[in-house]
Amino acid sequence: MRGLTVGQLRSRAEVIVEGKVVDVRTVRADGRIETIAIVRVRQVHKGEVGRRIQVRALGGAIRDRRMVVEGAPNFAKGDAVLLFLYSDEGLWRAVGMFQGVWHLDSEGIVARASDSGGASLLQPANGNAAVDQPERSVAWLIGRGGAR
Amino acid sequence: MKRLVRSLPVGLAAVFVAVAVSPAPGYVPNTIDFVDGEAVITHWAISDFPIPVRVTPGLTTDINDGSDRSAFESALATWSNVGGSSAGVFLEREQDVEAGVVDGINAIEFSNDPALDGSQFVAITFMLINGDGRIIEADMLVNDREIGFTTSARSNAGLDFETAMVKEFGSFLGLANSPLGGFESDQTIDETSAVMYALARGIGETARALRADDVAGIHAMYPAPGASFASISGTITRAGNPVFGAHVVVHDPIADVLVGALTLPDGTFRIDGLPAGRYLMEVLPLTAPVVPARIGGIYTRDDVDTTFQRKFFDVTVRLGAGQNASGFNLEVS
Repeated sequence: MRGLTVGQLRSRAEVIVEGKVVDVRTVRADGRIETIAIVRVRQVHKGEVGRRIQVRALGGAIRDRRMVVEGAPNFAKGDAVLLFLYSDEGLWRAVGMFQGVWHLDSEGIVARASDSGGASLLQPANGNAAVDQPERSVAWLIGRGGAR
Repeated sequence: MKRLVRSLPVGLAAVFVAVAVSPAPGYVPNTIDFVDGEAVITHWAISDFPIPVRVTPGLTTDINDGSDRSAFESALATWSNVGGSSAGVFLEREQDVEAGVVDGINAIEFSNDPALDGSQFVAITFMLINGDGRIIEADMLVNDREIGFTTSARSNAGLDFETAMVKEFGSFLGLANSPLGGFESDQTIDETSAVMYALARGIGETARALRADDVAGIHAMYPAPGASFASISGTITRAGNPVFGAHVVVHDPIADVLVGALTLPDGTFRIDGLPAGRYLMEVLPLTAPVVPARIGGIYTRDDVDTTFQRKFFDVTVRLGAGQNASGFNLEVS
């Protein structure tokens, strides 16, 4: 997977939101197993969305079977997250898979980039991947003053 | 990597205490979870081998002289022909397949779908597993739209196709990213870095042959009947407490064998699949660019210790074929 710079994350995202994962479900759609994270939106930094959104990711668990997908972001109920999202046939998905999902601590500060899900990154041609940057404040990620 | 080789003889005081340790996986398996205290590692059953895969007709559209098929089969052979291992994958046939769909087919899909625009992944492996981690089906989606593959080694025309396939089939077999690797001064990945090194080879970089770390991994996961390998196991502690996520590396400087493993939450490590040799030991934290999030699975937990000091131990462990050296209680600070 090619790493995305923070500029690419911002520009490719149709919406950038902060929120809390209030539920996580797994569905089977077109033969695939996917996870749906229900996110209560606390702040919108780019684009327009409702107060609750559904974010889809590849993989998930149904009964005793699990689909593990390299690079797919993981969501857990209660997670505070900063999300860079694009629309895929009416569904929200994270830009660059795990690269578009950032976990926040209780004070809203970026705690860490999402788990890579075992994916390996190619460095972008024009800089370091955002997930490899030591500076990871929300303000830096969304661009000073927001990315509207 | 070369820094490790140079530095190893400059050892510090050894701590060598025999203690009883619980089994823990060595190398870097795809450890995704714990259930009832047992690590859940994605793996194929030995009886599943050789595993048939079906692949999109014509494979990549970037290469039209048939060399992509040869490179693909060479990548399969790289993992299938490891002496002492039962692992094997073979190309059953070319047909239209869809990756990620639960259909009982191990599908390798080369997709040129416009929906991939902007996704920028090289390939994604999907693994359907049951509760104990056994892989029931695995698929691979290869981005044939954006990446640009080549079969000309060292070419700047694209990513080396065989290198990409060898790495991806390591994932397909259940190996996780390895922290065992490093960079040359020009920022290219060191030649000795594991094929499964967590950072991907870029344009002009190749890694078509397995390194010792990769071979040890496949030996440990899928030993052939009657095969016998050496192992080293123990516990890493800091102020008496177990260290989670410590990278334990053993090195035989004569045979130039470098193999590593990460400790489990209880601080235990086990490096399996080793050839006979005389090994030196080093323990180091996961540091950028191979941070815990690059390894995946359980190693992304917040309690991975990345703050201890790298330490060399001037212990030489002599291992004959099939010998096990256990009970290394190594203290870091």
